[in-house]
Amino acid sequence: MAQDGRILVADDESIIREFVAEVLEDYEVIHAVDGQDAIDKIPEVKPDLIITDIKMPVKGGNEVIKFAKRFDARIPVIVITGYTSLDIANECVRLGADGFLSKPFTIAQLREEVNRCIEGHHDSA
Amino acid sequence: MNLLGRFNNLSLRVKFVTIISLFIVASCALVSSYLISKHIEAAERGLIKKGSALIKVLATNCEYGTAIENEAVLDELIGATAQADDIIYIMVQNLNGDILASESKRDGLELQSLPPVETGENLQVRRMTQPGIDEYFYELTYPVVTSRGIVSRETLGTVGKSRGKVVTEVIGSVRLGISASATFAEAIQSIRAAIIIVLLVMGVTILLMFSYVRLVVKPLEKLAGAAEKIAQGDLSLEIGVDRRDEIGQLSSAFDSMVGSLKDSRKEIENYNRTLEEKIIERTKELEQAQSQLVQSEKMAAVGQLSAGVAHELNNPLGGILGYAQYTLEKMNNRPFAELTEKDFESYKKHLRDIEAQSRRCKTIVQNLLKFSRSSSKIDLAEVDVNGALVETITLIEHQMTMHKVKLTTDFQEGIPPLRANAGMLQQVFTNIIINALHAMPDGGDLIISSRHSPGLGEFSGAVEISFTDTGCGIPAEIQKNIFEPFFTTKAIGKGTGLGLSVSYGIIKEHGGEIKVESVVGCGTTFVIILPLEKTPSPADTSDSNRREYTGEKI
Repeated sequence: MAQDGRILVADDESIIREFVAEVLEDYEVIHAVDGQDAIDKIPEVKPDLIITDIKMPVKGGNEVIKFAKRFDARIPVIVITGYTSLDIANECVRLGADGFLSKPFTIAQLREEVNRCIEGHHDSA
Repeated sequence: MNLLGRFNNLSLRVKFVTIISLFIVASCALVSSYLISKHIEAAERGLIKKGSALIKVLATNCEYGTAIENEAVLDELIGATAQADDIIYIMVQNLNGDILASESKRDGLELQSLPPVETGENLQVRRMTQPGIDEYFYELTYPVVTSRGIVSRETLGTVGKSRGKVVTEVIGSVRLGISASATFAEAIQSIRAAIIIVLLVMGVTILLMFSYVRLVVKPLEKLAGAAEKIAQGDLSLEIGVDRRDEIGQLSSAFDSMVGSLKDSRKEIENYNRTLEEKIIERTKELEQAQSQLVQSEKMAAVGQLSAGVAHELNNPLGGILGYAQYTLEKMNNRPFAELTEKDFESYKKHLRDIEAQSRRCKTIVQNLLKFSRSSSKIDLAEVDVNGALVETITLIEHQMTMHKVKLTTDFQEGIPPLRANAGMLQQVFTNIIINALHAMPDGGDLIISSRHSPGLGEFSGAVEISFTDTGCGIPAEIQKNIFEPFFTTKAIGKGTGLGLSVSYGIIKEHGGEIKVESVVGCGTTFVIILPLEKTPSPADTSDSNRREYTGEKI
């Protein structure tokens, strides 16, 4: 199957990572178990898209966004979080997040957000 | 001084009687001794008068016998005189002291041994005692005188009228012993009589005084006894008044005093009773308020937890929703006939995931329910402290992550179960953990440990749970306030100020202790000590606890 791109999924919840990987089976999905793991993997994986949780041990999603944008501002970042608070959404947008998903999200929401960001990424590339 | 001191210790009655008796005895003795001495004096005077009359007659009669120194003549004279009862002896002496004639009525008396007496012109009296006779006597000495010219040795036998002046001449003396025994016997009788009279008077006086004193002191003693009983709190006593004198007035005043005491005591008792009722009422109100407080504080904690719980629920819900949709989509997209073994396996895996995540949701909801379940009355059950801690942590774990707080747990294995209200304990744990998170806005470490202390302080077997954070710390000056209701350092609207006071109440209700140690800038440690055996519930629990505890040890 043709790989449409590489997606780095960072979430301390394995069920979320696995589900995202299954849904996005057309992509090569790389797992990161926490923020630090994601930051370590970004330079070597050079993902086309990063999907990250906000609340994670060691380092949170905002650290991941900051690092990713410093590493390559063009990499789109989708934030998924269990907290549906405006403060968190605003903070993520300020840091440069491109998409926002609040748990629990539907397959359609995930696909739509991923497609939107990937297309945007390709457009800008 | 010692005697005086002893006297002061005597009772009023004895003092009174002693003093009056002494006074009476002294005055009686004085009067009688005066009278007796006067009596003796008079008796002596009488005796001497009698003696002097006798001796004068005798001396006159003895003129001739002495002059001729004729013993026979003299013997006759003195023999007649000596007939008188109280005469002891009579003797006639010449100027040389030779005894011309004598008569002694006492056997042991040696007349020669009597002290000599100078013959004077007049009557001489001396009071004497003499060995050989044990009686007092008076010795009277009177001169025997002759008149020259009338009778003389030269003119003896010549009778005629005297011419010229008459010259008297002492030619000897008569000595007469007269006994004072009778007089003294009389005096002794008088003294005896006086003593008897004094004793009689004294006896009667003492009797009278005792009865009078009884009249005065008895009611006083009764009053004193009553006063003592009153001092001990017995007001049932009444003296009763049956006389109109000062004692009667005192007694009736006493009775009315006891009466008013009774009244005021009744008043106080009534007041106390109403006070007690009020206290019971207020306590009930307070207890109600306290349980309401516990409940509302719990609800506030539930509110604080809800964000964490939502996140906690959203993760598994995300999995459930996602896998359900995903599986459904796959099944919709492929006709049933085309399904392969691999597809089945994948669906099964997704269903298992859904099941597992649903269970996770159930656990979270159950924990939250357990936490928020109303328990205004302490509802004791066997609680595993470590389990309760773990359940609390699951509700709050994500909030810790959010606060960048690293949690370390150090739970001792095999802590005996406590008799406690699990929900209430979890409320306390949650409160302390949330406070710790608020104390570490930039993250930090939280160490939660549990430990079984077989003999901790006043507790015989206790569980010690400590929460140590690396937060801002609590200044020493407010450490004493943190358990007070409505005391908070958080911004208005951020905290109720009730969390720790409610926690304090809960721990106290469990018979335990909650302590705080804190250093500003370093962190805070809260220590909860819960007794294993001393519980506030009925006594039966401690027994069963002990059994289980020892059982477990074996």
